[in-house]
Amino acid sequence: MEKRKKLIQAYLFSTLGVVVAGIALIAVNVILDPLNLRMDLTEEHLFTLSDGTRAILKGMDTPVNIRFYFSKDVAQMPVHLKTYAGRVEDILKEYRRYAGSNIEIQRLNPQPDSDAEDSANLDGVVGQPLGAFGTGDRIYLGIAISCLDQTVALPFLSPDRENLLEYDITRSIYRVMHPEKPKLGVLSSLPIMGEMVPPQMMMQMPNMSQKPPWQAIEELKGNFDVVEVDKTADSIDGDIDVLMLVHPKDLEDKTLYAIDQFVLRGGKLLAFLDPMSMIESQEQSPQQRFMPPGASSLGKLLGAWGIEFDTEKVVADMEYMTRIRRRMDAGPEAMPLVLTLTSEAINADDPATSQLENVLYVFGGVFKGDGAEGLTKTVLLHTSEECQLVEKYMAQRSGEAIIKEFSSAEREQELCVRLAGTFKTAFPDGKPAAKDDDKGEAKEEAAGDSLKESATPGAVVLVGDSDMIYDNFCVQKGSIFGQTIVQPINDNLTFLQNLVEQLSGDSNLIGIRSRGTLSRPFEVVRSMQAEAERRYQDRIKALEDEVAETNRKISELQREKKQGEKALLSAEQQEAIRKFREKKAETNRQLKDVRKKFRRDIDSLENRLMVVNIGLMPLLVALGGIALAIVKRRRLVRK
Amino acid sequence: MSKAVSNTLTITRRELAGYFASPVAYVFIVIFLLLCGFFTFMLGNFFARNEASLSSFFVWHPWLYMFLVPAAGMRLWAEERRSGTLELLFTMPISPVQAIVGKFLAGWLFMGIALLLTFPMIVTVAYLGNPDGGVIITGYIGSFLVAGTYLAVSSMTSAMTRSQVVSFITSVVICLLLILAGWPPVTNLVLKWGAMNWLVEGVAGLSVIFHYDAMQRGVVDIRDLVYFLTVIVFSLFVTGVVLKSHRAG
Repeated sequence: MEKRKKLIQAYLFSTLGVVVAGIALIAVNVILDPLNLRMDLTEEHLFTLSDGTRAILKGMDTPVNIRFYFSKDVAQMPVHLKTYAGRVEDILKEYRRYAGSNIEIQRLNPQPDSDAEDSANLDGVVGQPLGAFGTGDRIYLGIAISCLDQTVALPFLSPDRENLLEYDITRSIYRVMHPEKPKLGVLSSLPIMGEMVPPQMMMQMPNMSQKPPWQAIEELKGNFDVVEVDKTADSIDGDIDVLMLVHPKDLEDKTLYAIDQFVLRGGKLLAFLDPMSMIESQEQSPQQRFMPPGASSLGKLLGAWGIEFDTEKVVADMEYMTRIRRRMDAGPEAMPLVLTLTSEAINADDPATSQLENVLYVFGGVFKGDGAEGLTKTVLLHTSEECQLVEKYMAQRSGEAIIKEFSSAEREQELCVRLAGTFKTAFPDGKPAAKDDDKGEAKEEAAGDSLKESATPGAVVLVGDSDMIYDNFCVQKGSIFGQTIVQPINDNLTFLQNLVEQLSGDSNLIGIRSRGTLSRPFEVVRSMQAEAERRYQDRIKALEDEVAETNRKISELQREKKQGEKALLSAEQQEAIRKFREKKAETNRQLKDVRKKFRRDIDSLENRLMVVNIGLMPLLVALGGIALAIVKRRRLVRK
Repeated sequence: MSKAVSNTLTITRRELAGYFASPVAYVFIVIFLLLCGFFTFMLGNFFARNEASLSSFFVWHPWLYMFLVPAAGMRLWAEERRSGTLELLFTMPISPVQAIVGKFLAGWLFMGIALLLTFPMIVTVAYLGNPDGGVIITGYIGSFLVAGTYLAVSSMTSAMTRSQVVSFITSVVICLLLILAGWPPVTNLVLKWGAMNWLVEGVAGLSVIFHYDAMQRGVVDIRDLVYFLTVIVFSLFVTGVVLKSHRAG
């Protein structure tokens, strides 16, 4: 009896034990959930705060309040947003860890008609409606950061922008701590600041729409006080810290002088020059399009700085050419004048470019020259050795035409350079006289009033392409819940921001940007493709010439037919046409063959790898097993 | 204390040797490697993605394991019970805990060996491009932990029944539930039953995929480690309870 009781007790204990253990299992997991202990093993430490953020956090002297709004109770919250919110919270905890008591984090759940919701709206954190027509619950996933009376909001955190999350947060923290932004002046021949179309014009030309400023400008506005500088300005405001020129076409001497003096007084200049502006072509009316697109340069200034910029040539690069699928029915088209610059083309030592992986350079030019005496030149972007400077009109032709006629310059060309040090003036005689000054009064500025040489060391960054910061070439705009989300498609905007920030003296923010946009393509495949292009271009050129010739002969014969009196062709003519058509078909077939060969090496590599990976190990294991079995049987037999 | 450990390891060694003495182990490994490779290259579009990472390789593991691990684990205890060697095992001077852990470790090491044999993938991806080594390491750790979790569950089901087939099916179902716990249709169902939000989140947190995906990103988070370890410990505990009850009964 006693024994049985003991048994039952033991059994009950066990079942109860299981239930208790089950609850303990869940409890442990739930309790430990707020714990944020982890090891980031990624190569770029994507999930740990970068040095730049830590430096900024350590330098905090006033407390900053971060309000994290997240509607965690909404049932229809999409899963990926929920998990993303978890990651956002994790990273905020990291901020707190480094900043200590200088950062206070509040988690708020903006339920309908709650205080949290009012607070969110006041802060500028906008709820996104779930329903199709704006009905349904609103979900909030945003951050508001404030310090004293300054508040900056990240209205909606999209997982698409996760790799810039740390940058967005740190930038916002920095901005609330330092509300004064450096002043950036922008001078351009293009409507980079956006265009307001007057109502009368809207009626006359209804296709013209309000043009918003380029995305590049919108991004810069986040950190800088951006003002427009007129193309015909004759002086640059004293409070402008950085001057950015974007395709400064045909500047007058007085404006060049203003820029010259700006640099000499210590102002920082960032100039995007261009031998061939695609955007300008777009803006032109159809008649103007027949003329080659205009080029921009800085004339005398470059001469004084010891740099040359050829406005008649664009650079082609076989290694960095971009393949774009222009038509749905064709494969990707090779465009050697559109360069996708990867790490080897980018200066890895300079803080402005060290973390860039992917820069798009569109029909741009190159710089030559070592910089004048007293200046140090740093090359920030360059081509590969397999490049060529081609005449501008070549750009109208197809990529394959350029590849066919490619002849390598066999040295790297410079696409972006920085000059720093003591600059000399390009206007030794002082301010140029105004053109329409025919009153005869000597409106001279004493030659001594203008600077001849840098008062304080200056810096100038020159980039050989201006299209690269235009929207289509650097971002992709999408829409989530009706709000426009802008996603970078390469590092072009990062490149721009890094340069402006470096020039304006804010180096900490540079270290944070562009993490996680790293693409890790199959390098081996890429170089094989480049190699294949080189190998087969001759053959393809020959074949295509043949096809062109054959086509010509066919049309010649057909024209004869029209001119002749007879309604029908003679038997010979028909025979000739038939032969030519055959030849054309044959040549086309050969062409297709060669094109297939392009991929042959790559396909064979892929197949080999597949066989090795799928088949080799299983084969070895099977053989091993069989070998072992044989050995054992022999041992058994011997016994 | 060290006697317990050495006992456990002895069992592990004996079981592991047992695995490789039978052709089943080799067939199992061959099938695992073939399926991994097939899924990665054919279904995972490894080459088309042009990405030097093993994400198209790792994504399949929880699903492959769901079938393969129960197949390996079903014989852990069911066989012993059927052939009656269970009592024999427990007359030896080893405690049930040592036996359970020892057998489990043997199975886990076996899975680990099978996983290690996928190293040609690493070589391939390192040759083709420049992958993130840390992400690959955490990927393997996560995969190993998922295998261990399923194995512990199989150990549990295999102790409950004499039939290996029943053990297999039950184990597959439980593993499937563990995968689906975080799946929106499932969480919505739980919500409809009128559960509170914290319960739903608790259920979602039980999902293997949730924690496995977290490790795939390259971060070893203590919460994910705790999840896997607690599920393993719990399953082995239940194994012990079930075996004890069979012994008593």
